[in-house]
Amino acid sequence: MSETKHRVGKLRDKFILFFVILAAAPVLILGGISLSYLENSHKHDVSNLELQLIDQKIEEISKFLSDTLGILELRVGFTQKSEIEVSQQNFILENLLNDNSAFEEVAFVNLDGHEASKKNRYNFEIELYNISKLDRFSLTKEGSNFIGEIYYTLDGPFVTMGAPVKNRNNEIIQILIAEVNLSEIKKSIERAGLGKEGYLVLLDKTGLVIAYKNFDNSRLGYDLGTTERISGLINGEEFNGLGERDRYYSLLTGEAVAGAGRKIAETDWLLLVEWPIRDADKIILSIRNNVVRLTLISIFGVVIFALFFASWLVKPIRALEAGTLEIEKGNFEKRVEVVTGDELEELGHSFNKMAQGLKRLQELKNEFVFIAAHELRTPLAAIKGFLSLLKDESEPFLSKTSQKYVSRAIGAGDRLAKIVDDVLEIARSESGRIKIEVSVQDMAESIKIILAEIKLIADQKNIKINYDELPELPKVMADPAKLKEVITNFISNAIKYNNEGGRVRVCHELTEKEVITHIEDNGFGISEAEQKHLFEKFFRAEVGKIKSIEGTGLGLFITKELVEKMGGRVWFKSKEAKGTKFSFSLKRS
Amino acid sequence: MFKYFLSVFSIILGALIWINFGVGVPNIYSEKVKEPIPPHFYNNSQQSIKAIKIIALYFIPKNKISQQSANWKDSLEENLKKLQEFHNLQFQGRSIISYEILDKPVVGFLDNIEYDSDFTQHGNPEGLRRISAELEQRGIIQGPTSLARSDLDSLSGEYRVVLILYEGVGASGSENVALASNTFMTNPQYETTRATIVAHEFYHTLGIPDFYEIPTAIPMSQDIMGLGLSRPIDNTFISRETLKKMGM
Repeated sequence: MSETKHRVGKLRDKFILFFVILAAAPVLILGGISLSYLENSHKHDVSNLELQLIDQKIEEISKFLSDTLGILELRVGFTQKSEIEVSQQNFILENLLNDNSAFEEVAFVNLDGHEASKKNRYNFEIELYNISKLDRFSLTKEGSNFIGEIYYTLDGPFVTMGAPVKNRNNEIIQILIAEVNLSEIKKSIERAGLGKEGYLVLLDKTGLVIAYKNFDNSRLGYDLGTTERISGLINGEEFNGLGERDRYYSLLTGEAVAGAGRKIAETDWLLLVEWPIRDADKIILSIRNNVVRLTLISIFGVVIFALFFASWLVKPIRALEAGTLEIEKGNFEKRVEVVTGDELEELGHSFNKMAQGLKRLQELKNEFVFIAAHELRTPLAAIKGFLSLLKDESEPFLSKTSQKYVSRAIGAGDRLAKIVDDVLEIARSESGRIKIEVSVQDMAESIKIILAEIKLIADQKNIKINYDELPELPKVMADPAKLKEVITNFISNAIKYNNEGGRVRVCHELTEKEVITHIEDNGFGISEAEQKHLFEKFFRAEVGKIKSIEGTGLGLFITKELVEKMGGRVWFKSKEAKGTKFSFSLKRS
Repeated sequence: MFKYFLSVFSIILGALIWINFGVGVPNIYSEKVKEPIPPHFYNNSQQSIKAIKIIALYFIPKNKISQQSANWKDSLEENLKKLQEFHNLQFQGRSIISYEILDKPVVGFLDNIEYDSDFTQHGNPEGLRRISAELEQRGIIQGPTSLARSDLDSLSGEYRVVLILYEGVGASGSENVALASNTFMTNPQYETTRATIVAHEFYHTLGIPDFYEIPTAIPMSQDIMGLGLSRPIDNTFISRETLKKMGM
């Protein structure tokens, strides 16, 4: 039975394992693949957003610079190659300061390098200088617009811009120079962002910070040019957030970021966008967590589901197995009920048909055996009669050898008659023709009568039989003839399969509803391998001393059938070469 | 069966770990950064200016005691604070200025005529010579009890500078000592540039020369040592070339 349970457990485990694999594998594989694709796609999205923002800001900065230079590119209405009148210069400068908040200081410079007029927002006495030694003058004088290096002041980042002033003949007559406050660009960079935490950094062409949202004016000019990345960017190695090294620890925040950087063509300034990964990859992190969570939930759910499902699936198989065990015991009445609406139900029907067929086959066999045994009895009785006559009346005329043959023929006839009787009894029992009439019986009385009858046989083997009779043994419900047959069978077996000088003990045990009788011997015992076949028809032990003892192998089967038909049970304990203890119970009257 | 369960759950666990730590988890690259060298004197990497201590004092020629400025200390305080902010920005916090203002004015042994100098360009050591000599003589500079003794530098790790607010005419700066006339503090003409002038003279003590031609005074740079001297300190700067020569 334990073997059966083990097998059922394994099948259920297989189902659970199968379901766990079935549930987890797709989630894990699809989760891994989709996460990988998503991550790749997301990386491109991040890069696109970053580059888009950079391009937008580059456009904005370029526009600011070109607009500012455009303001400084002054054309006068006259054709002479002479400076603008000072009063007009002052008027123009005043208007430039008023109209452009980015201009901190504006000046007209003559072509000899002397500042001709100058206005600023500082509200102090203006000094005019000769700036002929400065780049701003020498480069602009040549006719090009000038954008100087960024310089960092407590008021913020500034740049000097200059443009030539031309007359109608397109001749340079003066130059116009302005100190331009880059606060507008700085604010625009500080305001720009990606997601919740992404930010922009504007650097000058040497890698100094012009604008970054976490830097006030006192921290501008911070040098990032010492880093490998910004050095590369200065040298034109732009990065787009897709490279292997484009996710890095920011030097500004120390945080892991997804970065991209480009150079502004007009000024060689650098624009860098950094997006903290914990913000940029929030969606990936969330999906990853969901895949892990979903997998764990799936596995848990599937284990629970599989337990129920496997039990449900195994139930008809268990029913079929129980049916086969009944068939094995000879119970062909057993029917299994499998309602699954599938092949298992068909198997159940087939099983029932098989059991029905076996039952019919058994009935036919019993009928045949009954008829055969019954028909054998008449000629056998005649053979036995004539052999007896031959022995009784012709003995004087027979030689010693013939007498021996006759005696053997009579013995063989007796054994054959016993076999036929046993077979007939079994056939009767199995076909339900045996009649058991249960009544109140005195067990002790029956035992004593049988012990008296059987004493002669016991004495032949010098076997001592003890009956431990209980003083007030309750009466039992039994058929008197069958009870005697049962007791005789057990005691004669105890003598038959015992050693010379052995002993047999008969005793009782009482329960609330039953009287149990034990017949114990210290004989040959039964091996473990043979014990499970002991009550089978025609079973004979094929080992040792037992093999040499004559018998039909039907006695114990009949005995068990009789006891069970009288409402009792039969069992035994045995150990090879130590002895056997048979027990049977009958209901108390 | 147990071993199959163990195998399957190990594979699932492995896959979960792989998904959690492998898929979509970026490799974060650590940037290589060049270790910056400490800021130093102009064109002299041996003299560190990582920490600068300014000892500021008010020097009055003996004939000018009656003209002693009442708020000289506030002026010094205000301009030194501005200098600190300016320096902090230009040197990105890698060189720090601290200062101390002597409580009482130092009264000179001579009249102002002996100390004054109208020519202040290029550090004008002449303008400083007499005052410096007297301060040295009196043990305030380079004497046994001086405030700017070079041996103190190595002890404290600070570069020490004496800043003199002078009640007379002149402005100058050379190693360890800078001088600015109190006229710059009191004359409204210099209202927007007085802190710039103090800073300009201070930077001479770090070895930075003037960037304008002599004697034409044509500026050769736009920063505080050239054209930027005429701008408010909030609006001027130290040029990139100069800073590079100071380890920045």
